[in-house]
Amino acid sequence: MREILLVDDEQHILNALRRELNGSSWSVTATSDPREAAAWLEMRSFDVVMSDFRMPKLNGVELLTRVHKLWPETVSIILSGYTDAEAMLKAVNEVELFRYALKPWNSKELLEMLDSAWRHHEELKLSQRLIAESNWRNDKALRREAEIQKFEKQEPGLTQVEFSPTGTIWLADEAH
Amino acid sequence: MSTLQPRPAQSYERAFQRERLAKKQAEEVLERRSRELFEANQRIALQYEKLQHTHDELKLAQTQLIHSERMASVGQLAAGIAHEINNPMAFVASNLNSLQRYTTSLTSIVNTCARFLESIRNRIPTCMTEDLDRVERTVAAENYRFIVQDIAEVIQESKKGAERITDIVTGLRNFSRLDEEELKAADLNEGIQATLKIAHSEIRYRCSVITELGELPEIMCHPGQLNQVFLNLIMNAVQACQDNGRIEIRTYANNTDVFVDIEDNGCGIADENLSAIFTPFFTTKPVGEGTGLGLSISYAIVKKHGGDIRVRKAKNTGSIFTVLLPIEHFVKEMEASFTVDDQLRSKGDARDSIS
Repeated sequence: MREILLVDDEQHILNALRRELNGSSWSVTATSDPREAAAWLEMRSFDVVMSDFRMPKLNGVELLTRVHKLWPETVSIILSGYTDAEAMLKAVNEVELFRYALKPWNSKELLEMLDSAWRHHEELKLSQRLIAESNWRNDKALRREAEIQKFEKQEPGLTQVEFSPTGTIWLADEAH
Repeated sequence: MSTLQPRPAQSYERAFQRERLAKKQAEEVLERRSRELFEANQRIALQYEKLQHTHDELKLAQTQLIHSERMASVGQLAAGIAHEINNPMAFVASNLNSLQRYTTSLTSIVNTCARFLESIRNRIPTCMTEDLDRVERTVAAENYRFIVQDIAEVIQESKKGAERITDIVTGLRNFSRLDEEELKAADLNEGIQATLKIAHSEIRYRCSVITELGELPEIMCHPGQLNQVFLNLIMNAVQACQDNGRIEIRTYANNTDVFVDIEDNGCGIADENLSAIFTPFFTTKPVGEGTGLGLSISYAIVKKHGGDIRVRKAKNTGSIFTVLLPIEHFVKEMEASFTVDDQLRSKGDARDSIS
């Protein structure tokens, strides 16, 4: 199941969105209290977080900034009735926002947007994994290098030994 | 002491002469004074008239300012309300969608049940046929067929209504953009379309609108203010129309200017009023219905854009208002201000290098 967190101080909006996503591949968690959402996000991640912009106590951009810091693979969307250009700019710049969607939404477009948000999440996850993997390889290589240097210190010349294509050790005079 | 005593007759003559001269001089002085006074009076009257004129102009400017300020705050209010409407509109529209899906499912469920009951009618024990009859009677009494048919329409119409509200809100937002004071490149056709959306409710029952919007170059302008001009002209056209009114809006351009024609087939403007229509407070509407400011403000806005509003009689009845706007007006103005800036800067540089 794809996991989405919906945050909007208007409960009716959450109900409507739940209905839209009912029977889809999304498992919905929703709250009308952005601080509650923030508390949940301290404990667990979601694939996508879609939040209103204007909310009391904690606005959408502030919430999504936290999301981005805690869970870099989570895709952030703002769903707002306001087309305030400045707020939009701020949101896009401060959070790595996937979309700034407008209310009222079109049902079909909403579902398509969430689909592409899911694909974006998969890509983020993949790239995060690749980064982790390459870090791990890097660490391993560094550890090996350190070990080789330790052997070289104990037995000088040990790591300089050359091998023939068949795997036997070449002695210095044989090489020529 | 030997004094020459004048003869009495001679002395009387001299006295008489002296008196006459004095009298004449006094009269001249009096006449000059009174002429001066008269002239001064005239000057004062003239100055008074000038002052009165200035006062009138100031008063007019103030009224226009108040009006445009009120329009601006109405615009801001409208934009704020538009935003507020978006939230409830969002869940109403979304819920209607869900409702549509649900009813489709419900109808299909009920239809399946009905078909099932129909199919087992001949196979159920007789003791149950009465129950089945009761079910069918209820279905008939509750007008099931009609409801199923109508429910789709009810939802469809509500969705149409929701869409229209959304359109109006979008129109309001476009019309009263908060950055309307900013100078920016805009396509006037977009402004006209947004304005038509605003005026839609006023137009709808009174006349039909035909638009012939030609391709226009973008011009530097204050789009919000020009929308106000179009709204004024369109509303005037609507109000001039009787039943079967018809408004034609045409846009076109040449190399230097863009033109907007707004033609109506309404009552037209009487010849004696033609010269007065752009005068502030001139209105032919009943008291309380028109401020008489619409056209004068529109005129002021268009003049500020370096353009002009012209009016002529339409072929049969009605009038054609043409708004003419030069494409390059503000561009030239900006270039001019840049060159002044450059000159100032280069002067400053020169001074710096000297000191």
